[in-house]
Amino acid sequence: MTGKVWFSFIYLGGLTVLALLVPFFNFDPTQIDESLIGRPQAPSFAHWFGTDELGRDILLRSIYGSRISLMVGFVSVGISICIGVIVGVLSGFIGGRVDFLVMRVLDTLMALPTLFLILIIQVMLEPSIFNVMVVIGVTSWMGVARLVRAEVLSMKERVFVTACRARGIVERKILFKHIVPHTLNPIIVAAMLGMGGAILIESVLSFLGLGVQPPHASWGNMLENSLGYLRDAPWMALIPGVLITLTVLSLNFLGDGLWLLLDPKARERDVIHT
Amino acid sequence: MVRQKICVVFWCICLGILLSCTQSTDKQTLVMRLGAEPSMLNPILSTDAPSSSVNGYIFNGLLKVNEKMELVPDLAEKYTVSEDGRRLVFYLKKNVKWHDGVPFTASDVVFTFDKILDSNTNTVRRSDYIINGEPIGFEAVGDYEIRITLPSPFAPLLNRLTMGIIPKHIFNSEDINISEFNRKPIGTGPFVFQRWETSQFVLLTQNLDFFDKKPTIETVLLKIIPDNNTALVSFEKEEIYSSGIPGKEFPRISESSLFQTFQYYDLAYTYLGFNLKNPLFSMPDIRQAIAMAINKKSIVDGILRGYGTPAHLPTSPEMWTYPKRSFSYDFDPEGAKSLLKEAGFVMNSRTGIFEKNGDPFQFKIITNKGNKDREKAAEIIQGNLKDIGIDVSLQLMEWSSFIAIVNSDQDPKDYDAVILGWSLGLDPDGYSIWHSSQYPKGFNFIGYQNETVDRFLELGRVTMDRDKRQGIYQTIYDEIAKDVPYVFLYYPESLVGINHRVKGLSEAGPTGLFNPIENIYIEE
Repeated sequence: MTGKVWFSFIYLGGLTVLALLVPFFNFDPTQIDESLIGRPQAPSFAHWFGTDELGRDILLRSIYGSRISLMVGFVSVGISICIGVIVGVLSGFIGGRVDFLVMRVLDTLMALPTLFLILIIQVMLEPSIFNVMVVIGVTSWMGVARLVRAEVLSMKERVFVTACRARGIVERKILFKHIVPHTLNPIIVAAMLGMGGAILIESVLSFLGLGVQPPHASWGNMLENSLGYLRDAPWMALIPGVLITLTVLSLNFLGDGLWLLLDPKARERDVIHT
Repeated sequence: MVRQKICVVFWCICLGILLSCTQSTDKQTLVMRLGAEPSMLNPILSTDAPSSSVNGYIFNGLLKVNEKMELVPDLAEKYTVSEDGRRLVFYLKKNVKWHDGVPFTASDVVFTFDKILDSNTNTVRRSDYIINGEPIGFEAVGDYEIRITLPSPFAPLLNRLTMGIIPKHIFNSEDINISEFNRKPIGTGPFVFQRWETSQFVLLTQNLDFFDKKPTIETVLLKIIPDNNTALVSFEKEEIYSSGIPGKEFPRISESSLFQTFQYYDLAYTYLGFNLKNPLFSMPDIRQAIAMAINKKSIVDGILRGYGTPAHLPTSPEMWTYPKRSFSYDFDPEGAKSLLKEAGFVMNSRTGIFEKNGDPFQFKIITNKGNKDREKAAEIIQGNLKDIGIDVSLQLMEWSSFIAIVNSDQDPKDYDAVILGWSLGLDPDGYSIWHSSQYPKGFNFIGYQNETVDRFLELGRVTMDRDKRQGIYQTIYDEIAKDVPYVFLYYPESLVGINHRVKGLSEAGPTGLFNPIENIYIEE
């Protein structure tokens, strides 16, 4: 475990704790300060991250924004993992024509430009955070499915599977008791990377006004808000921007770290490299 | 060695391209901005602002509006109005030619208005030329005389005759709705259409055969720049000569010697409109409570930076019918709360939201995305209403889907409340916005219905006397202000910056600055 992995772990842990605890305090992130409308305040002791163009506290909005981002990350990745694992396992295990067909469908789906697909769906549906999560989840399971299928394909040729068959264990049991648990490691790593991607997509959608609707805060719409104020209130853009970057980067580092930790082959390679 | 030579040649070519690029902007070229792609360059079909601003250079009407907001003859030499106001005769100028060289005659004028009245033409202008179900008659007498017959006197008529005249010889044999000439127009105006590159620019050049004073400007380049921030940056880099300026940048731009700045009231207002067919808003008291809960002053001071005025009436302070004293509901959150209580709402102390029969008072405001002032105003309104115990959610929509909801034919329409703005014509006639016949199809999309207002709107159209009309419209304004079908939010002030090299501007106003275009020139 390297320093950056530890940093990512602490950063994400802290963010999650803050995001979970903040609703228990009596703060309102949409509270407008009428005396400060149109005059964003620079970071100060009263407002650590400054205020935005309607006099709202940016620190508070950032934390509420992290709730949205983390929730989108978890839920949409949850959905995509569920679909991806089911499709991947079945396709890999059944094999033959079914596998061929499923893989061609996957190829087709992967060729679709996901972001534009999401944009079109969001324009047609009413923009809501629930839709965002479902749409991201439903459009991003293809990678997971391929990963799982590849793993299942190699697993089912292993000697221990043949041994299971020799002992007369039913196929279903072999699949769920012996093969699926072995695919967990790559899934966890893919989930970490997928969360980073989902958080980015949510930010893009909110930036374009198709995600979280104002006055509710999300990092994406905070960034969008800051556009007209880049010259006189750069912190309005800087803070959500840095948060998005740090979060996505941390998830990627953590994914890498977990991969090293969980995959013995990767560890060996790592040792040889260093 | 060879490689070096190739390099040198390459850089020379690049430099040459660069130089030839920059050359096009000197001499008398006026570079302006269009806020969006024009839809059609045909004055009788287009409804959007970018199209009208291009059409303004290319087409002429019988009359035009001068910089003092007066109607003066344009294609007409002069005109006469009969005693009863129902017969008008227009005598046309004789030296006018279309841009393709064909002479302009009375048949073009009759053709234009016939096309507008033809139900096969996709135009929203038709109702402008129909009075109580009867169309206005246009008849050509010889080549240079037009007789107009009205079923009854019609005050907005002269304003309606500023409509751009289109060439009969071009559209006669074409389906006007899909004609290719809607993309390469032929007009009579001071500028001739040259090129339209989609999402890039529209290029116009001086009309050497123009019938009136020829413009000094030789070329007009209209760049299509949808984003306001990008437009402001181009303006400051002197790539475009004119731009709207956001309030918070206005003092900074004003101080620069590179720019001239102007501020004036447009004929416009911004409002929060209720869907009156929604049972939630059927009671005037509820709407009044909402009106009293909204702090218009904080919107004007905070969002518009003081460049505007809180609004109370469906008109503009620049309009001649604007009354000296007007009816208004002032900011009074406590009063709003007691109105809601009288209307049977009970405060739920746990949620802080008013309830009636267990249903919390909540609704959704929709507005179009992209207009920052409106978006921010919506957030302030949301906060104001939360303070008195009304739960409002917001939705920012893309323009075309937003308009599809507002303009749908269904009754009731699928929205609770909208934030929108109206740009008004020079005539105070508000028939299309407020008359009950204009629902569900028409601009009265909120479903406003008030017999007195209907009657006075009809009267206002057929009354010619200015003083009498002023009285009529004041009655209408008062009646509407008391009913609160809209909460009038603000009259925005237009803030315009123009490059210091552009000279010959007229006084700022809704029709001013670049009007007349013939006076404008670029100083080297």
